[in-house]
Amino acid sequence: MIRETKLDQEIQATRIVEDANEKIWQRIKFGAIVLMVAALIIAPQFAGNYLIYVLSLWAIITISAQGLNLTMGFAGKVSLAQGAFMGIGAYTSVLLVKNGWANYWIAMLIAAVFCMMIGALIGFPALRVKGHYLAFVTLAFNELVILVLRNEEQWTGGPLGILNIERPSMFGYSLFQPVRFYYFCLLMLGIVTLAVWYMIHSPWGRAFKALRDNPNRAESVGLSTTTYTLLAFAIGSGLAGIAGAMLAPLVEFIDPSSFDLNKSLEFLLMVMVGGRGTMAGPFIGAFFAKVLPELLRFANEYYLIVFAVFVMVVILFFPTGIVGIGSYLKDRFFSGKEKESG
Amino acid sequence: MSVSNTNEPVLEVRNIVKAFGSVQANRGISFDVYKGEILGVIGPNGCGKSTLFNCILGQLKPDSGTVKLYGQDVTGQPPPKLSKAGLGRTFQLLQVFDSMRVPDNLLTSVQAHVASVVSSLFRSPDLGMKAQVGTVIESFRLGHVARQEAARLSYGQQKLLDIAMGFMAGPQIVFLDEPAGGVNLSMLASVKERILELNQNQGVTFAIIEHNMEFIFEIAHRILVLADGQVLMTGTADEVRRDPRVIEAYLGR
Repeated sequence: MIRETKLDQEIQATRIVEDANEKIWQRIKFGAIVLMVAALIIAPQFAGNYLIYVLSLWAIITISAQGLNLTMGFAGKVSLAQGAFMGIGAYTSVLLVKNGWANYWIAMLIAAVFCMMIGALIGFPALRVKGHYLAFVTLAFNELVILVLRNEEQWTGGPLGILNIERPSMFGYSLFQPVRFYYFCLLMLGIVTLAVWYMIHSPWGRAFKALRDNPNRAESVGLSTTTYTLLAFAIGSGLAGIAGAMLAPLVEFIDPSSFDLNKSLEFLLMVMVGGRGTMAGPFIGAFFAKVLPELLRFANEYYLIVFAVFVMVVILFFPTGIVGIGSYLKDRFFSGKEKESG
Repeated sequence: MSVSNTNEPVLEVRNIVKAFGSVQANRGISFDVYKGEILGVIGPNGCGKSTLFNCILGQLKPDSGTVKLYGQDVTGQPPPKLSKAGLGRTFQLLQVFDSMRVPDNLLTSVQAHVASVVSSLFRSPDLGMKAQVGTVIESFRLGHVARQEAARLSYGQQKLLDIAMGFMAGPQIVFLDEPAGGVNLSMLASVKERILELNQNQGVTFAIIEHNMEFIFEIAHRILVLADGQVLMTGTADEVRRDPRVIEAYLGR
C-alpha cells in the first residue's frame, strides 16, 4: 500500500514536470510560427521582385506538398503523381478561363474538385496494392497525364504549352504586381494550412494515422479503410489542383514538362526530407527544394552536391526528416525525457 | 465457475473450411457461442485457432461455411461492419497504433462507433469522451505511461492497451487471441479482472484463444478444443482436462 502511494507520487511528480516542459515547448513552437509569419509578411519590404517570385513559388509548392503529406505522410499511401495532379489543376483552370467558361475563382474551385475526383479514382488501386507497387501505379498515371497533355494539342497546346496566362483580380485588385500576387499566395497558404491543421487534429486525422500505422487494426475497430484511403487521395490531390491553378498565373505559362515525373519525385523528396506526417514538414521540405537553392545561387552546382549529401544523411539518420532532428533535440536536451525500453 | 445461465446462442459457426494452398487450416469447424459465457478455445500450435477467428471476424473469407450473429448470416462481411455489429477483438500479434499516444489509441478504437465519417470531421478531437478514456486508462493501470506514444510502451503495456482497445467500443462479444501471452503475473491479474468484470457486470460474451491453461481453465465456462483444423471436443475445464484425446493431441501419438 505504502509502495503504491509512493509510486503514485512519483507519477504525479513526473506529470507536473512533463506538463511544464510541454508548455514551454508549445510556447517555443508558437513563437517560431509567429516569427515566420511576420517575416513572410514583411518580406516584400526587403526582398526584390525575384525573391518575391521565389517565395510565391514556395507558398504554392508548399500547398501541394501538404497534399502529398496528407496522402503519404499521414495516411501512409505513397504517391508519385502529385506533379500530374498539379498539372491537371493548372490546365483545367487555364482552359476554363481562356475559353471564357468561368472566372479564375470558379475555375480554381472546379480544378480542385476535378482533381479530387480523379484522386479518388487513383485511390482505388491503393485499396489493393501498397508500397512500391502503389508507387508504380501512380507513376504510370503521371506518365499517362503527361502523354495526354503532349498529344491533345488542340486543347493543351501540345509540348509547347499555353502562353500568356493572365493573373486574376481579387476584390477588384489586380494581382498582376508580384507583391500583390505574393500576398494572395500567402493568404491561400494560410487558409490551406489552417484547414489541414483542423483536419489532422479532428477524428479524421486519427483515422488517417490509424490507416498508416495498422490498417488491419483500423478495420477491426470499425474504421472503413476504403473510405479513408479514398479520402486521403482525394484531398491530397485536390490540394495539388489548387496549387496548380495558382502556379499557372504565377509563371504565366504552363507546359507538360512542368508536371512530369521529376516534379512528382521532387514532392516525394520534400515530404521525406521535411518530415512526413508532421505539419511543419512540407514547409521545410519546400524551403529546401525551392528557396534555399536560390539563396545559395552563388555556390552554383556545388549546392546540388551539398544538397544531395544532406538529403542522404537526413534520410539515413533521421527517417522522420528535418522535423525528426528537431524532436530528437527536444527529447535529448530539452525535456530530458528518455526513450523507455522497460 | 458456473456455466452460463442461458442457452441462447449469439453466434453460430457452421462447417467453416479454409485452406491456404494445400494446407487445410480449418476443415469444417462448427460450434455455438452462448450469450454471457466465456468460451475458451485451445489446441496445439497450428491447429487453426487464429484462422478460425479471422474467418469469423472478416479478416479472412472462409472457403465455405457460415457464421450467424444473432441468427443473421454475417459470413464474409468486412471487419468494420462486424465491429459496428458489436464484435470486438484483439490479434495474436500486438496491434496498436504505434505513432499515437495511449488516449488517441483508445479514441481511434471507438470513433467509428460514435460518429459517422462525415460527422466525425466536425466533432471535437476527444469526442467528448475524455473522462471515459481516463477511466479505461486507470483501470488498465496505464496511467503512468498515458502521455507516451504506443511504440514506446513495454510489450506488456502494449498488450494491455491492445486489449483495452478491443473493449473500448462496448462490444457485445469479444474475441481475444492469447491475451495472457507475454504478460507478467500482475498484468495478467489485471487482464483477468477486466474480463470478469465485463462478463459479470455487463454480460459481455467472450471467446478466448489461450495457451496458458491455468488462466483459461480458471475463467472459461466452457472449452472448445481444436486439433488438425477440426473440433476435437467441447466441455467444461474438468472434462477437457480428463479427456485422453486432448492429452494425445497435445503430446502427439
